[in-house]
Amino acid sequence: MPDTMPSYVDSYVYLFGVLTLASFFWIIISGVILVIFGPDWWHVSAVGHFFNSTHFWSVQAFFFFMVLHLWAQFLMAAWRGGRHWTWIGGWMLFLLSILAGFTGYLSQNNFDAQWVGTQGKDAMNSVGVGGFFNLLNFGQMYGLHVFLLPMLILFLIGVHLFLVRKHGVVEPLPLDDGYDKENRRPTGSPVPEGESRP
Amino acid sequence: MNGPGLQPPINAGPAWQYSFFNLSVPDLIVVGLMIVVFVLAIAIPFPGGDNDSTH
Ligand code: HEM
Repeated sequence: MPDTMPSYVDSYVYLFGVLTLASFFWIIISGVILVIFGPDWWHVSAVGHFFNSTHFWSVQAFFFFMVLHLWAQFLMAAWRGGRHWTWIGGWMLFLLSILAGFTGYLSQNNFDAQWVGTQGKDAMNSVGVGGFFNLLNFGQMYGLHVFLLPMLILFLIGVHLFLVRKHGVVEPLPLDDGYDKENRRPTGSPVPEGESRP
Repeated sequence: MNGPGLQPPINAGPAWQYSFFNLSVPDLIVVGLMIVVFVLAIAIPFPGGDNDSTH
């Protein structure tokens, strides 16, 4: 594995991944505390409200930085050089995180959650998964939210970070200064037959 | 859609609407902030960035 950092990572855009990770850390810490005491606590006590809010705002930060991370990786085409599984794994993390956010919304155990559940169940039924994924089943949604989805996300983050370490940071895209050095003419201008230099 | 007596309990206030797009004012603020933070992350030079170099 590479053990030095190339100079081109000296930019704030490379921090979005680790900021996402830091937000995820606080989501887990606050979420574990919520799980220990339960909805009857987080809805009524001041300390419960505090950890409920910490959990909520950590999620906001998580998605905020994850989307900025996605933009950065997209704009530098970071799937190059055999890094496609880092990119695909990132997408799986993104989609699973949306599902985790959704089941979390349903796990609030308040009127918002009921409203989302009763509206959303029709969408689930319309695509034929309602019998299996029942938004009105609090136990199912809560179980997915506090166990299955976090575990999957944790595992995929592990794979994601391993792949980043394994491949090293992707090289910046070649600079297009309007001059095609290889063929010694402006970029994009046609190269006559037989004149190309492989 | 809803009669005057039936209002959704979740009401995010005014929203920008175009076709199926629907972004509330808080949504727009967050998207705006994300663009600002992204541009700043690219524009602001990283401190101590010019000493090392293994490349
Ligand atoms: C749970 C969410 C995620 C976490 C915690 C995470 C974390 C990280 C970290 C720490 C890095 C290395 C530092 C950096 O370049 O920022 C990284 C790299 C990368 N991430 Fe993510 N990421 C997440 C989601 C995503 C998403 C949604 C995508 C895109 C669909 C993505 C694509 C990539 C790619 C392609 C790289 C490799 C960059 C390179 O090799 O230079 N990640 N990720």
